[in-house]
Amino acid sequence: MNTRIGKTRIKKRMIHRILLTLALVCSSTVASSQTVCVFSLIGAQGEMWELMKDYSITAKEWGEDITLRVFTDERIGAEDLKAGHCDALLMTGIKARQFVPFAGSVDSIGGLRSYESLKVLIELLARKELAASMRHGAYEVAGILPLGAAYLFLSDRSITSVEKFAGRTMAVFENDRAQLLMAEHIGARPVSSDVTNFAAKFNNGVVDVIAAPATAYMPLELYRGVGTQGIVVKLPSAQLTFQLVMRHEKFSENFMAKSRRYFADQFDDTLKLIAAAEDDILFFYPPPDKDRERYALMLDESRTYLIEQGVYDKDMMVWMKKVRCKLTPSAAECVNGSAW
Amino acid sequence: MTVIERCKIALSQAVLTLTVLAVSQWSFAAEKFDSKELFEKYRSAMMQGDAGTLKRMIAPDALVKVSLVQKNEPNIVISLSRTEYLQQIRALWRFSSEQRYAIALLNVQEVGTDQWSLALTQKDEYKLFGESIGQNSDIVLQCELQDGAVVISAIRTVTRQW
Repeated sequence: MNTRIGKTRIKKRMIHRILLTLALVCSSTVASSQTVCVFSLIGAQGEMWELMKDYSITAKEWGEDITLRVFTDERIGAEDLKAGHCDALLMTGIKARQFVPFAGSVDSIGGLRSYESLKVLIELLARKELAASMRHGAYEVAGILPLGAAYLFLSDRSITSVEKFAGRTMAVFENDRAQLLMAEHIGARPVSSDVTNFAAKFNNGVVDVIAAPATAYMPLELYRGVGTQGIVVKLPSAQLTFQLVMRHEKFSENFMAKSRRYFADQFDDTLKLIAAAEDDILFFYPPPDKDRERYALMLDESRTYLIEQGVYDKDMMVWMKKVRCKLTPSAAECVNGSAW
Repeated sequence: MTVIERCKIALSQAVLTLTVLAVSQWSFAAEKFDSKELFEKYRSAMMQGDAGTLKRMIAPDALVKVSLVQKNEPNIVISLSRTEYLQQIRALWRFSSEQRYAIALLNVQEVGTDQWSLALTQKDEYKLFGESIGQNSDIVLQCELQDGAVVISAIRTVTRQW
C-alpha cells in the first residue's frame, strides 16, 4: 500500500516537473526577443530609427520584447527576413510588394495624388476588417508609414513635357519591375540602379531623370544633380511608403492589429517631416500649364499598363480608386465604370 | 411745380448724391493706396530676405504665373500658388549666396475699381552651386483692395537667365 502511495507521489512529482518545465519553456518562448529589422540608409540614427525605438518601447507594453537591428542595404534585410534571421523588416513599399502584393501596391505609380488620400487609405488598412488582406503566405504587413511622394528630378528644364522624356536616361531600381516598365512606356532609356547608387548617377550626370521623395533631397544632395538648369516636377508620381512586414507566425493577430493602428497614428507627425523636407527643394515647380493634363494622363496610363502586366495587386487598385473617388467624386474616372 | 416735376428733381438729386458717394468712396480707396509705399515694402522684403512680409503682402489665394524664357524654345509657363511661390523664394535664398537685387518701379496703372497694376523690373545676381547666375525679370504685381487693405492678388513674371 505504502509502496503504491509512494509510486503515485513520484508520478505526481514527475508530472508536476514536466508541467513546470513546459511552462518555463512556453514562458521563455513568449518572453524571447523578436528581431525587428529596420532598413535605414543612414544607419541607426535619424527620425525613422527613433520612431522604431519608440515602437519597440510600446511593443513591450503589449507584451512583445523587440530587438531592433538596422540594415543599410534593403536587399540584404529582405534576404534575412526570408531566411528567418529577421522576424520583421521595415522596408520600402516597393520592396514590400514581393512579400505582400496587396499592401505593397500602395506605392503604385499615379495611385494616389495627395497625402490626404494616403492617410485615408492607411486608416482603412489599419481596420480589422481588412486584416486578412494584409497577409500573404508567411508574411503580414503590420504598419504603413508615409515616406513622401516620389517626384521626378530632371537635370534639364527643357525636358518638362512628357514627350521629351523619350530618349532620356532614367534611373530605375533593378528590383522594381514597375519603374522599368514605366520608363519603357514613356520612351525613356532605363539605367539599372539601386537605392545606394541612383543619386550618385543623377548627381554625376550619368542619368537625366530620377524619381525620389523629398526626404532624399538633402541627405543624398540631389540639388547637385538638379543644378542651376534642372527642375523638380511637383506632381506626385507615387506615394512612397515604409511598411513593416512581419513573419506572422512570430506575432499574435492582436499584436499586429495594434501595430497597424500604432503606425496609422504616426501619420501626421511623419507628414510634418516630409513637409519640412519638401520645403527645402529648389526649382520645385508644378508641371508647365500646358503639360499638366498630359502628365496626369501619363501616370494613369502607366498605372493601367502595370496593372495589366500583373505588377500591381488588382484588389488594392480597387480600394485606391474608391479612396480617390471619395475625396474627388467629380473626377471623370469616378463615372467611367472601370474597377480601377 | 407738379408732382411729376418734384419726383424728377428728387430722383435726379438722389442719382447725383449716389454718384458723389460712389466717387468719394472710390477716391477714398484710391487715396489709401500708395503705390510707392507698396513697392518699397516689396523691394525691401526682397533685399532683406523677409519672407514673412512678402507673405503678408500677397493674398492667400493669389495666383502667380511664371514664364521662363528658353533659348530656341517656347517659354515655359508655370502657375503657382502663394505657398509655392514663397517656398521657391525661400529655397533660393537658402541655397544661393552673394545675392544682389536691383528692383525698379516702371509704372502704376489703375485697372479697375480698387485695382492697380504695378510694373517692375528686377535684376537678380547670385552664386548658386559655384556658378554665377543672373536673371532679369519683368514683373507685374496686380493689387487690389481687400478687407480695407491693398494686397497683391496676382503676380506675372517673365524671367530670362543669363
